[in-house]
Formats: sequence, structure tokens, C-alpha cells
Amino acid sequence: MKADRGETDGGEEALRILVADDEAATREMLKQFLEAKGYEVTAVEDGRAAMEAADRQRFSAVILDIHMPRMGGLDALKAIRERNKRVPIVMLTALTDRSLAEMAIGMGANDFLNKPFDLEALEKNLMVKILMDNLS
Amino acid sequence: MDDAVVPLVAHDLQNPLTSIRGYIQMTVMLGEQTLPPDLKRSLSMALISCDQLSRMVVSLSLLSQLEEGTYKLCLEETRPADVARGAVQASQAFADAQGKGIVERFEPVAEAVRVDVLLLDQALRNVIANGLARIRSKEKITVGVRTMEGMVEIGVEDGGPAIPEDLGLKMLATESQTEVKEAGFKTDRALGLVLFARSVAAMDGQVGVDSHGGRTSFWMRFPVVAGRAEAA
Repeated sequence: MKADRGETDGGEEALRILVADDEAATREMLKQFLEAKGYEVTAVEDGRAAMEAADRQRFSAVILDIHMPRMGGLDALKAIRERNKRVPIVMLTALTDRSLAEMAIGMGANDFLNKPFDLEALEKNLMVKILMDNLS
Repeated sequence: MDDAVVPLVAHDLQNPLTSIRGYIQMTVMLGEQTLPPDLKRSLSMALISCDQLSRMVVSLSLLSQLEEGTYKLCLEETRPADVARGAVQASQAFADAQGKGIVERFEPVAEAVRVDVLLLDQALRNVIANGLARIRSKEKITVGVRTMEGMVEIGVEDGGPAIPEDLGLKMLATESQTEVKEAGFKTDRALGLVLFARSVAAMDGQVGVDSHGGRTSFWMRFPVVAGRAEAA
């Protein structure tokens, strides 16, 4: 079975998060923030790379932007959900893309956050969902 | 610019805003123990400016969609005090940074109104920002929710400059902004106020501006959903 935790410098297990966003600045910012918070992060630039990463490795949670080239967030959501029914998936979207966000929830996303989002809110959101997934 | 392009431009502006806001917030959070207080305050102000800009971008996008008729209205029964409370919370940091206050005066309103929560939230945030801009530091605005004759009123009251009766509604219309400016009022909140009026109209509500006795109120009213008052 693939593990969804890596190991930190201190020997403790770190939760693995998959981030997919085609905007390099946003992707790098999320990676830096989550790593500073102790997560192990795999950051990719489109939905296809996210799907491939999810095939190779198990993650504690997935963050997907909706608008991405090659394979968008909704298609990646569908593909990842087909492989893993439980992993918490949070979609990133613009506030005015409400119909897409609702569609994502209908397709199995656990939540969505509007850009620009509060980093503390994102982390709390992730932690709650990971905890709930572990308890279920 | 073609009106149809505005939502696209607004949408594209959200991406750089996301990373700018994120990097600033990350610097503040990770430097909590090490950053000099002045720098922390400067970064907090930059964060608030990002949120302000984001609210304007969203307003621009929503206004454009409403004018184009492409906005998909999503009406749902909602307790207005809940939306008002959320809008006040979202505006608190902005008020604090300017040394201004927001007072909540919510009657125990149990009645539901039928509104698009996203539009109502944005409209109210814009009116709160307008109220804060109209007062001086150390002053407060009041955000109120009350029932009256089958309607629920959500209003933002401030002690800023009195507005002549014939000018109030003109502040909420794009085409009257020159007249508003010539009357000596600032028009830098026009986008937010126009969105406020358009949003409320789209939800079949009413808007108004009352100014007397040193207090000015920008308000919106929505009919109570039939049968809900008794149930509550």
C-alpha cells in the first residue's frame, strides 16, 4: 500500500499535499507556505500532471485550480476521484465562477476556495478535511 | 473595452492578486516573531489593500455580468442577519486599519428573505466600505438589520457629510457620477455603490439613501418570504 506521509527532518511523518495550479507564482506560494507549515508538497502545473502524480503516490489532500491547460481541474478531479474515493480535494476558483464551483462539488470535490484566499483558512480547511478522512 | 471582456480581465486579475496576497500573508505569518512592528504593520496594510482591490475586481466582474444579463442569479431563502454578520466580519480588518469602527445593530430578525447570497454579500461589503470612507478616524458606522411592514431592511448608517435629497439615488447610478462630483462628493466608491444598486434591483429589492439629523443611511429592503415569519 502506498503511504500518504513522508518523513520530516525530525523523523516525524509529514502529510503529503498535491497542488495543481498553472500559475507559477500561486503554485510556488502554496508550496512554500504548506512546506513551512510542515507538509510535504508536490506542486504541478496542470491537471494531467496532477493525475499522474496521484497515480504514482498517495496524498493526504489535493488542491486543484479549476482553469488549467492540457487538463483542467474538473477533469483532473474526475480522474482522481475515480481512483480514490476518499482523498479530500479542494478546488480553487474565482468568486464569479460559482457555477463551476458547484459543478465541482457535484463531481466529488469536498470544498472550494475563492481566489484570492486566506492562507490560514486554506490550512484550517485542509486539516479538518484530512482529519475527517482519517476518522471515517 | 467590450463589456464581454470585462469579466475575463477581472478573472485574470484574480491570479496575480492571489499570489501577491499569499506572499504578503505568508511573510507576516512566518515572521510573526522576527519582523519589526513597523514592517508588520506595513505588510498588514498591504494585505488589506489586496483585499480592497480584490473586492473591486469582483464588483467589476459582477457589475459587468449583471449589465450584460449573463449573471446566473441564484436566489435562496436566507436570514439577512447572517449575511450582514459575515460582511461585517470581512470588513473589520479594513476598518481597524483606518482606526474606524463598525457597530452591529441587528434586531432579532427571524424572517427569511429570498436573495442571491453572493450578490447581497458583495453589495453590503461595498456599502460598508463606502460608509467607512465617509467618516473620520475614531468614528463608527452602524450596520443594522430590522423588519418593517413586511420588509427586512439592511442599512449602513454613518455620520459623514449630509447628502442632499436629490443626490442620494444619483450616487448609485453610473450616468450621474459627474453631477455627484460637481456637487463636491467623492466618486471613488462609485463602482461599489453602482453594484449595490444593480444587485438589489436584480433581486427585486429596493435601495435608498436617507440623510438627516447628521446621520446618513444607505439601505436595501427585501420582502419577507411569505409564511416564514410565523414558522420562525
